[in-house]
Amino acid sequence: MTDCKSFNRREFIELVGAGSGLLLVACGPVPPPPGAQAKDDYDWTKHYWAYAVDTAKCIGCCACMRACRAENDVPEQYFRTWVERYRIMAGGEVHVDVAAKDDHVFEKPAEGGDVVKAFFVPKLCNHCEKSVCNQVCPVGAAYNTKDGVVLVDRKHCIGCGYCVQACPYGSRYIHPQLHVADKCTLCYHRITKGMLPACVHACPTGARIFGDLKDPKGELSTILNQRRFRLLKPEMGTHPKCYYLGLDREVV
Amino acid sequence: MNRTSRAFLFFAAALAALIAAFAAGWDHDTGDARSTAGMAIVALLVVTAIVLVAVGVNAVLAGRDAPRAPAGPRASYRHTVPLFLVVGVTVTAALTARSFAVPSGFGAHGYFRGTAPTEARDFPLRHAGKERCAECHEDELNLHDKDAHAKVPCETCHGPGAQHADASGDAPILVPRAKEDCLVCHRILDARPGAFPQISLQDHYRFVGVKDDNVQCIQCHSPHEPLYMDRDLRTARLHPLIHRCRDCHIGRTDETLSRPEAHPAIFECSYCHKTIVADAAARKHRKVSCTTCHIFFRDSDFAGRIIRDADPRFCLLCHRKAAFRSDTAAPGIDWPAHLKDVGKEGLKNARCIDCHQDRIHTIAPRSRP
Repeated sequence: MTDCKSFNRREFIELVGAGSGLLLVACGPVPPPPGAQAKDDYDWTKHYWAYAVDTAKCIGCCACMRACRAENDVPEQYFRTWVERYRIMAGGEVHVDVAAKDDHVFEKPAEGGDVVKAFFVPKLCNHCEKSVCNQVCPVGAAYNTKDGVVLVDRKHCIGCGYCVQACPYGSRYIHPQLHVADKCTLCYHRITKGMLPACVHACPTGARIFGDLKDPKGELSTILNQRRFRLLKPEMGTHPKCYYLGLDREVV
Repeated sequence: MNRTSRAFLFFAAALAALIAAFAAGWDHDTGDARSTAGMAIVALLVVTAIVLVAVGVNAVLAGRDAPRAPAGPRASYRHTVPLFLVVGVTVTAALTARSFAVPSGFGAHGYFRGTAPTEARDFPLRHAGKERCAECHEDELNLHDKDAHAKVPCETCHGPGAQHADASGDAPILVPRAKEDCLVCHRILDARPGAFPQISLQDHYRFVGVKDDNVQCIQCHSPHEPLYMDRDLRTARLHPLIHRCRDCHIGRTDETLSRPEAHPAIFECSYCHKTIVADAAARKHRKVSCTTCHIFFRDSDFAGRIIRDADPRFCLLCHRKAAFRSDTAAPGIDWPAHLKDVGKEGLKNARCIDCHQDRIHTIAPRSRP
């Protein structure tokens, strides 16, 4: 038997091996927790959600903003989605504004001038495939779901705001009451039940289009096959999944 | 087998352990780190690799310094025990601390809490969808689906309705009635697409002859069927001019046309109804303007109806026989005694224009420019 004061090489290696084995058994194989598909038959590997905006159809009624606020308890003066009004003047000057007041109603702009071109552009989180906001999260509270949605884990977020800085589209903010990062969830609680996001649901003109890229015959896939579109800031390499139809060159 | 080759065996085993650690700790399909258990295995394999390397180094050193050590008491490794104790305790402490710091399920589907997506699905619904609305308001929805607002979802105007629907209507829901609510979409804005109907209240009131600024849109236009007149007057469509805005307003119009003051004379009746206007100018009613009859019949509180059914009461607004009327006023008619006078007694739903259409104008097919 092994001397308690000294043990030879073989015994030592056996000891280490046995110890490692014991530790392994102690840690044990932990079964992975259920994912988003736990509650019903929703299978998040079968979908890849994306978004399109037909800017020519937007009338700037901001029903999307009101719907989003109501559906998601978005705090006042913060936006998960917003509508920008671009007014390009004769001199080439570009005026951009947002209906930021509580009721989100665009009024006639106070300043006059010779408007050459004017249009609305709805904006929201682009739910990028290579989302920078998730890459910078130090704790793993920002993540991409398997079905292509960028979400924030409110329980895990420490509110450092790094993702808010990182997002090139300004889609994130720090929730003033919860002190965690907050953003568009594509109404994850709705789309996983087969409903449309609130903003798409409320849009009266069909300017906002939501769909599944894994459905080759779906509305969104058809539009992307047939129409010409542009992405916002493609040079950032984020692979955004919000496709803009009829976007003007002034829009960034 | 000599000590050196045995040492190489140890090194090879250490390398294998490291490769195994890498394989266990990293899921190449998704590029995600694995679960806590996976990370523990990684740590163990790394420790094993360290041990094997240490043993190998020891073997090499022992082989170099004392080749073929004489038989006798074997080399003791007791002095290495504290090292492994320190490593073991550190690893165990680190893993224990990690198990507290890392929430359960972290890493199951990627570098995030595995249950977080499920929790995100738990958020309550606020917008119910028109199928829920139809449970109680099917008739309203059927009308809505036939008119210009067919594609405007209920909750765009009425706000989120899940609470209202869940409470079977007991919870309040938004019922916008003010003209400002309509103008959210229909106010003229330069950024709005030109084809979208946009109303200048001032011009619209002037056009339909409304003098009172407090008249609300919904007094004439049912919000559910905006191209029809209000509920009581469903049989009468609004003037087709409304449909024809789009004839000109597709896309951005020429600036000279889009300003109301520079607008073409589309609001002259003769612009579309040349034949009838010319014909009316030769008839007895030539001094009566078109809009006297066609635009502004006040039926209860509602203004702006176009007379199509030619109710005799309408003609009698001017032609009722009354003692105070002057000689130059329109000829007074005693109704319904007049029917008896002309031998049409008992005729139901008799209309003045059945006999007197020649006094007004012919009803010719509409002529368009």
